[in-house]
Amino acid sequence: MKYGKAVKKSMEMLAQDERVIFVGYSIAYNGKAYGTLKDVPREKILESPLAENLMTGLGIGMSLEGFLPVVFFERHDFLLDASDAIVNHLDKIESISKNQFKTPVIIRAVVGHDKPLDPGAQHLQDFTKAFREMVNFPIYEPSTSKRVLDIYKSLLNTSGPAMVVERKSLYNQEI
Amino acid sequence: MEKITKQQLIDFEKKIKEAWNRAEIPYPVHFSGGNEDQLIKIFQEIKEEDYVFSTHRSHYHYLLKGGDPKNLVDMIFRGDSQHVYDKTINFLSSSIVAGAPGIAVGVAEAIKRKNSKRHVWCFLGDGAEDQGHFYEAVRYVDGHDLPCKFVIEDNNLSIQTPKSERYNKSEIKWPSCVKKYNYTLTYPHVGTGKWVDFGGLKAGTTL
Repeated sequence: MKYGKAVKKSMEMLAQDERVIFVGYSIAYNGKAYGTLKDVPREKILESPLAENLMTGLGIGMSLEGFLPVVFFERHDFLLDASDAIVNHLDKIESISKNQFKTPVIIRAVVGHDKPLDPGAQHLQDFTKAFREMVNFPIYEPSTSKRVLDIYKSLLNTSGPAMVVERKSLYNQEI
Repeated sequence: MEKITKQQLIDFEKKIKEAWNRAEIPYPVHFSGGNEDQLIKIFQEIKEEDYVFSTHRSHYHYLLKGGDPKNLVDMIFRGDSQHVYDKTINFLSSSIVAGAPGIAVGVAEAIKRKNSKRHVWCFLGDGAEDQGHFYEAVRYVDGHDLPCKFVIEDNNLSIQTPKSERYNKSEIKWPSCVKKYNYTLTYPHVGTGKWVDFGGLKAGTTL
């Protein structure tokens, strides 16, 4: 199975869970998160403004009320505007609240690809290592389709935050 | 539940102030003062089941929400004055300026989807009013009619900088989900106004 297909299948699997809500911008419209949300019901998608910190805050807040939000970032470059929500809040609320509040939020963070179009310096960065330095929650980097399926399936049971780094360069590969 | 009075609020902070001045609390504490009447009025509207998001200056909010004063004292003495959390009364806070509004919006979105009658109240200072992340949150609540109110506690100071030095004469007209009250803080930004010796290192600010 192609890597991109595995991601799409994983999203459809997640969509079956009533707690799951997909949060992001332009994910209900053309593109649909690189096609991965194409067959997810519209009511499972919360289309947000292009305001990454708010979008992540929406995810955190909804998780406090029992939702399992999947927040989509189409490129790592765009994670930085949400780094306050991710690093200072998503990563810290459980510990600073002495475990009273849990924030299960899945961050989907895609690393851009330079083919077929090379988008340049502000659209191709990979901040995986930097986020590993900044947060305590798990960051997964699935490199095969099987790992993609396994990781997203396991995250249905997560009680806290997680980030999944997807690589656009792998989407068309049978791996 | 018996409501806490203005004098009890003032006395609570006074006791913490005395302990801080005796170097018993080796952590930053942001004291509340000067806004008792305004807050007592606002909290008449806030119901027990509502959420409150507070800031680094959280003591009055916590006590008025119905938080246990003893619990608050414990939190302050263990260094959590700037992150007061209590799930039993739906109370959260953030010590990042304008850190909470986006999260408050998410809770409001969730409770609207559940057709719950609860509300979210998010407090912030006029320093956070300067921040773009607050603007994002307000527009979302306003546009989607979410059950969330923002309360700007305007003391004309962002840390120690008055408005005239910040955006100068610019004033934003916020939509109806934003309330604002003005007051003069009776404490400095952090600490008690006295320099205190914490094991050989002094901490504090002057009024």
